[in-house]
Amino acid sequence: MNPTTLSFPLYRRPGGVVFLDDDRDYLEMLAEVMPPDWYLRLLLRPVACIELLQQETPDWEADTWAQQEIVNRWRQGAALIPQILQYWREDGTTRFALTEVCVVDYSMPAMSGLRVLSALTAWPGSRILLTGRADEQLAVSAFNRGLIHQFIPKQSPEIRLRLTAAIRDLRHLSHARHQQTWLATLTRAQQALLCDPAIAQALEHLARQQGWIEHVVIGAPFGVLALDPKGSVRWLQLEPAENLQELAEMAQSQGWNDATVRDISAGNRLLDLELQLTLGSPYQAQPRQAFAMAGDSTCLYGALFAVPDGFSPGLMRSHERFLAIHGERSLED
Amino acid sequence: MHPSPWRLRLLGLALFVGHPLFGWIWSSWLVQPYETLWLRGLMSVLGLVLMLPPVVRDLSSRATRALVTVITWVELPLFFSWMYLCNAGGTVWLASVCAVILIYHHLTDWRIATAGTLSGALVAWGLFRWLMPEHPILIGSENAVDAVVISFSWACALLLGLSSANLRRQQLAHTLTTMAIMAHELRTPLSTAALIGDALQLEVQRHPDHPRAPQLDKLAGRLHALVRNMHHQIDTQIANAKLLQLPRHSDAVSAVTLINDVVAAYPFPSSRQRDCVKVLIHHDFVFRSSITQFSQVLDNLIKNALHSLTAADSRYPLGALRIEVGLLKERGRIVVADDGMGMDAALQSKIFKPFFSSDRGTGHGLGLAFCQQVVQSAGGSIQVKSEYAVGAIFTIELPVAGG
Repeated sequence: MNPTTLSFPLYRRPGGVVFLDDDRDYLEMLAEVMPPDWYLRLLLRPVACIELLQQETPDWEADTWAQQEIVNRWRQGAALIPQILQYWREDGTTRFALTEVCVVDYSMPAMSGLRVLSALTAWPGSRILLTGRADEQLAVSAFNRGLIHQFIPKQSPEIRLRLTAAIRDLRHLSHARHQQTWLATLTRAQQALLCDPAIAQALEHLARQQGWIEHVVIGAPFGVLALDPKGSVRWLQLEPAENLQELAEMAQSQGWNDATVRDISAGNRLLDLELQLTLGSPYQAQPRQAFAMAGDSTCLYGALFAVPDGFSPGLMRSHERFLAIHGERSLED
Repeated sequence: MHPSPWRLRLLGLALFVGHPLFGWIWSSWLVQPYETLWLRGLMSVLGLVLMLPPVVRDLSSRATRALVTVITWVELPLFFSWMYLCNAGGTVWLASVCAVILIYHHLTDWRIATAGTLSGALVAWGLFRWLMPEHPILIGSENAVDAVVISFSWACALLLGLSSANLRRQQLAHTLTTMAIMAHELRTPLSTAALIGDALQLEVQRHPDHPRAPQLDKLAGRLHALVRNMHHQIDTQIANAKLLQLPRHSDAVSAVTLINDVVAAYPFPSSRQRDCVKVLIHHDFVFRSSITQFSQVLDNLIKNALHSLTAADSRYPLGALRIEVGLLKERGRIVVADDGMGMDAALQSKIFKPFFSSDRGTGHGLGLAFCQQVVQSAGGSIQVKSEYAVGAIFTIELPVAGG
């Protein structure tokens, strides 16, 4: 299975965006027009930019390793959901500060943008080169050398929209290592379902509609654990059509009434028995409205369940709170 | 030489005063074997000719240029060779001839100087044999010494000419590079201006009910249009400045598609100017060139035409700027015609030279040189017909791509 065919990323979270340009005015105006829910850092000096991102590299490593450890422990029998919830609670907001996209101006007096990027080989984020030069050859060769993911000429009309779209697209991707980590929890059948473009699109739509800022797709139990800006967690339970009958029988054995059991086997409602199992006794399973994830001939059903506040990171560790503290956009000299 | 009225007057004055002065020196004070007062007088009068108002008034006219070339030839290689022969060489005239060779090569192009020096020497020799048959002719070792010294000064003159030509080419290249760098430097501030427009529009979106919101939105729109326009100008100037190192391309270009695209994308300063453009299609054709470069050619021509219309205070009636596409004798033709200021016949041969501009105030004179370069590299030619205060017609002829 090639993980790149999964268009819905297995792991996504909001990270920082760093802008490096020697033009103060340009940075200040970028700060004005970039979406307010982005964590922006504006740097004037190439050296400061290199230092900042290089210092982040060990944090990136540690974070990736923390996620990998969750999966490793799962292989040894620990449930995934409580571990992920714990990871979020323990991390607080530090992971939001990790820079995800770095936008560098090509022509700066101290150092060319490409030199800055080539000094950052260990840093795992995405790179965009911004240039006022008409020299596309330069950008193409940089792209081919793997130094940049995108190249945007400063003179392009609608520069703000182009830049915003490019950054948003790169932020929406999973990092290769995250993708690899979480892919291990999915069975082949689950992977095949996620590869279905209609299902991927439905998931993307749901993520946008629900305002998820961070999510992780897992296979056991199958679903998406998602975080909203206020630090509340939702569980999207996914059930392939062929599993409905089994779920209905489990519900029946747990003493749920006939109407509920019928609804479950028809795909009208889902019951979060596995969530209850992993979260432990205070949590009570509840049947919730189910929806088909793709078209009429659907083979996947989903239902949303709220994870209780006690398990969630909560407002104090939320992205909203993080932005309230670190959201001020000022130039760093 | 870089002609200017005052330089020409000064040259004339130097000749007018210098000849009688040196005539007196060599005949009365430091007496030389041969000196001729009537010839000195004639040379002095020729110097006077250079100071005449009709000559000085229009330095670019063909007649003036021919006159200056002939007078320089007579005054320098011919006269000095003659005096050298009549004086049978000697220190004074050997040194003078050497100096004249250097001066002549400095004043004019090395090819003209070489031909002029040779022809001047030969004519002087012929006249000398014919008019002064009894005069002694230089012979022996003295002759050889003179020949070596003269050859040396000639070689030096050529070498200096060559290096100064290189210097000029280098200076041109530097100027063009500087222009390109400046243009790029403007990108970031312009991009900032575009972002200010965006910020204004975002502010308007946040407060759509504010009474001044539509006005702010309109101003932001104007800022954006201005930025687009300036980026377009920069693109044009950069493309023009690259004329020395144009890469060769061979896209198959449809003339009609190209013209429609260029006209549609052109940032006309006003809708009146946009509406005065009339595109007439007699026959489409396909030719081989670079689409971007050729678009730039048409951009330049449209820009010049609009400029000329503005200069003529035009009211921009429909068809004040006409673009025609057609075929004539198996060759494609693109005609850009305007009813603007036009230009003098004398200027028309020069407008395709780099850094020549018919309008010293605003143009920098690279546009048409670029056009010619691109058209020629597509195997075509570009010509201009114009009459002052009537308008200009630029005709591009191109070989039609086979198949």
